[in-house]
Amino acid sequence: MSRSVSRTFAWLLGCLGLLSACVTINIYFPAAAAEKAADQIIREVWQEQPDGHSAPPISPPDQGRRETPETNRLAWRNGLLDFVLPAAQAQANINIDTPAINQLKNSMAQRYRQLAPFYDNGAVGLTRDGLLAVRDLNAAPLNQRNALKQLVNQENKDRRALYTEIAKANGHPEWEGDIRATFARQWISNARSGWWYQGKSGWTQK
Amino acid sequence: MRLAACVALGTAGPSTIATGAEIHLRTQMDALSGAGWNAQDLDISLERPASGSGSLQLAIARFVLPDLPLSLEKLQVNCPDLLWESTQVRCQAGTLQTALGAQAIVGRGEFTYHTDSPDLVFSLTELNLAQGRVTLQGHWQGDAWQLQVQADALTSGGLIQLLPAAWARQFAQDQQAAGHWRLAGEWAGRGAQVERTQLSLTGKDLTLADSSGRYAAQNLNLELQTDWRQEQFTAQLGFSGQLYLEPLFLEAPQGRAPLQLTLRGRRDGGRWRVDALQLTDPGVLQAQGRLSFAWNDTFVLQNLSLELREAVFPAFYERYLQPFVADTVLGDLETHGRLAGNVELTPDGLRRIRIELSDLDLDDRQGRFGGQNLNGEVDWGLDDKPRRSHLDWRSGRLYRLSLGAARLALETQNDHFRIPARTRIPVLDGALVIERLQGQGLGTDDLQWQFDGEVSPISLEPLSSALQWPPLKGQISGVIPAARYAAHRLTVDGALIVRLFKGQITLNDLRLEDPLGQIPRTFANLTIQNLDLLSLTQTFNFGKIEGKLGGQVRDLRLENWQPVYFDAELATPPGDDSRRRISQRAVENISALGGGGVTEALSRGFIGMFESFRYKRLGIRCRLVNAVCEMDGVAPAPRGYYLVEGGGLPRIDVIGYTRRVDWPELLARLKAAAESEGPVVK
Repeated sequence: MSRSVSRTFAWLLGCLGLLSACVTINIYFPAAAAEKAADQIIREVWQEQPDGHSAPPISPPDQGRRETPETNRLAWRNGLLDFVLPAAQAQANINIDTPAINQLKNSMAQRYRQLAPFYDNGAVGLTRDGLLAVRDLNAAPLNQRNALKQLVNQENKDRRALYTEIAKANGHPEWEGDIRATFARQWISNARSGWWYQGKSGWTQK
Repeated sequence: MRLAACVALGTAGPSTIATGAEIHLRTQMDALSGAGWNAQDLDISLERPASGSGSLQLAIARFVLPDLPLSLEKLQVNCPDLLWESTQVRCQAGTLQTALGAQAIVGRGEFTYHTDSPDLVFSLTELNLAQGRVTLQGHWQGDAWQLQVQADALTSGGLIQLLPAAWARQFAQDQQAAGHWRLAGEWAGRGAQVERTQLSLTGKDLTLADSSGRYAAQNLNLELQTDWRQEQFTAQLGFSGQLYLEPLFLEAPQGRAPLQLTLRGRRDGGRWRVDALQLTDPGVLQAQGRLSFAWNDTFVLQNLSLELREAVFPAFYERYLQPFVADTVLGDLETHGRLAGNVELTPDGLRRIRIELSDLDLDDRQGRFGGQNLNGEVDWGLDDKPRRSHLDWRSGRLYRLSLGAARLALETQNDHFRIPARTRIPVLDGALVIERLQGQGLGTDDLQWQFDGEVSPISLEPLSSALQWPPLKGQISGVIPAARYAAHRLTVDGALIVRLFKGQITLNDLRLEDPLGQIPRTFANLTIQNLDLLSLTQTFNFGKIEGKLGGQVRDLRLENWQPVYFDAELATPPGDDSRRRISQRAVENISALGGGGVTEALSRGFIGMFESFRYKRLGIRCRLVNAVCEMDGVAPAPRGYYLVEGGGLPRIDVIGYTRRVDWPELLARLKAAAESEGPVVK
C-alpha cells in the first residue's frame, strides 16, 4: 500500500517536473521590441526620413545602454583616480547592433537604391513571409530583367540571414520564425503607397 | 477520305462528271475527315445545266486542322460561274468567306480541275488576315500536292487574335503587341506527308511579350529562312533589336550588323540534332558547334559542343555567362579582355572546357576579389584524363590585400586538382608560399582543398594601411603545416606569428567561415608576448607608457571582420623587470575614456607637477559579449578593480568601477583619445 502511494507520489513529482520544465522553456517573445527593431532596420534600408511619415521617429541605435551623467565622471579623491567608463545597462530591447546585422543592413540599403524603381512600378512586391518577389517581370525593361531577378535573390538571401542573425544576437535562435513574421508585417506596414504586397487575396496595391 | 455519317442525295442524278451530262447534285454530310483535317456539317451543291455555265456552292460549319491547331468557322465557297469544258472544270470568279476566331475573312479565288490527269490547281487572292493580305496557291495531282503562301503586312496584334484562346493567353494582356510580318512559304508533299517546306519570314519593329515576362521582344527586326526536306532542315535567323529569352538577353543595335544564327541538322521524332551551328553576335561572340536537344513542350538540352572563336568581354560575360552564375560568387563582376576555346555542356552542366584567356580583367563589384591581366590556358574535363592548366596574372586583390604578379600551374583529373610545383603569390611586400595544394569537388558545390606552405614576412605598415587600421610597424610571418578548406570553411593548422612592438602575437587555431560569402566569420586564439608599451603608446599617440605587456585573447570571433566575442587578458607580465612609468598624458587619456572632466584637476593640483609616475603593474581584462565588455583589472580594489597599480611616490592608482562597458562607445573613445592632440597644460 505505502509502496504504491510512494510510487504514485513519485509519478506525480515526475509530472510536475515535466510541467515546470515546460513552463521554464517557454520564453516570452518581446513582440513590441521586435516590432520597433524591425521598423528601425526597415527605415534604414529604405532610407526614409523620420518626418513626413506617420511612424514614430527613429530612436538612436544605442539608446538602450546610454551612460548616466553620474557615472560619466572621474572622481578625484585622496590621490586616487577613479576610472569610470560608460556603463552598459541591461537590455530590455531587441539587440540589432552586431557586425553581421549591420553588414546585412548596409548591403540591403545599398541594394535598395537599385530596387527602388521596381518597388515603385510594381515589378516587385513584398511577400507574406517577409521576403521580396518578382511580381511582374514585364514591368522591367528587357535589359534589366536578369539584374532584377539577381537583386531579388540577393535581397532574399540577406533577409533570411537577417532574421537568423537577429534571433542569434539575442540568444534565442528559436525566435527566428517570430522575427520573420514580425518583419513580414512591418515591411508591409512601412511600404509606401503604390507598392505591392501579398495580401490574403493575392497581390494588393497599397 | 472517309464518310463519317450519313450521305443524303438531295436530288436524283449521277454523281460522276460525264461530258455532256446534266448534273444537279446536293450532298449533306455530318462530318468528313481526311489526313490532317476534318470538316463538320457539310453542304455541297453542284449544278451543271444542259447549256451554259454551272455553279458550285460549298458550306462547311467547321473546318479543323487539329495539328496546327487551326479552326475555320462557317466556311463558304461560292462559284457562280462554273465552266465545264471537255477535260476541265474551271471556276474563275469564286468567292470565299469564313471566320477565324473573331475575325471574318473574305477573298477571291479560282480553280481549275483537269479531269484527265486528274489534277486541281487553285488560287485564293486578297484574303484579309490579321490586317494584312494573304495569297494562296495550290496544286494537287493524285497524291502529290504543293501549296504556296504569300502573306504581307500582317500585324502582331492581328495574328495573336487568330490564335486559339489558350495560346493567345500566353501573351501579355496589358502590353500592346506591335510590328508587322511578312511570310513567303512553299510546302510540298504526298497525302498527309509534308516532304518539303521552305519558309521566309520577316518581322519588322516587333514588340511582343508573354504574360510571364520571361520571353519578350522589343523593336525587333528579324529575318528567318528555313528549308526542310523530309526530316533535314537548315535555318538562318538574323535579328536586330532587343530579345529576352530567359535567362538570355540579346541585343543587336538597329542599323548595325544583325545577330545571326545558322543551323543545319535533322529531326528524329521529338529529338533534334544540329550538326552545324554558327552564331555571330557582332563584336561579342563568334561560335560554331553542334547541338542536340529534345522538344516536347519544353526545351531539354542534351548536348552542346561549341568552339568559341572569339569572346569579347564585358559583353560576353554579361550576355552569356552572368545569367548562369548570377547567384554565385562570380555573379557580379566587372570584366574586360578576351577568351577563345571549346566548351561542352550536358544537362548536368559543364563537361569539358578548354579556353585560352588573353589579358582578362575580373573585378568583383562587391570588392571581395579581383585579378588583372589574367592570361593562360584552362583545360578541364569530366573524364579521367589528366590535364594541365596554367594561369598567370599581373596583379590581384583579395578584399583590400593586393597580390603581386604570379603564375599558377594546375593539374586536374575529373574533379580532382593539384598544384604540381611550389608557388609563390606575392602579398604586399611579402608572400604566401604554397608548397603543396590539392583538392577535389571542382565544378561542384562541395569544393574541398588542403595546402601547406608559409607566409613569408609581410610588413605591417602596408598591411595596416590596406586594412585601414592605425599604422603599425612590424611584420607577420609563419609556417602553415596544413590548411584545409571544406564546406565553405578554411581551417589553418600551425601558428602565424605577428612581430610588432618588439614583442610578438601568435595566432593559433585560425578558422575562416564563408570567406567570400555574405558574412565572413573568423575564429582564432591569440597569445601576446612582451609587447613594448612605449612603442605601442607612441604609435597610437596615447601618451607614454613604459613597460611590457603580455597576455591572451581567447576565442576571438569576428563577423564581417569585426569582433563579436573574445576573452582578453592583458597585463604587465609577471616577473617583468623593465622600467615601468606612465605619463600624465596617458593617465589623462585613460580618464578621457570615461568622458573627461579630470584634466583640469589633474593639471592644477599637486600631482599635475609630475610628468610621469612609476607603476607596479597595469592590465585590463575584457570579455566581449553582445557588444558589452565585461571589465576587470589586475587586482581587486575597494568597490572596483585596479587598472594601474601605482608604485613609489607620488603614487597614482587608476581604478575602474564599471563592470559592464559599452564596446562601440569604448572604441569610439579610444579612437578619439588617439586622434586628440592631448590636453593643454597651463
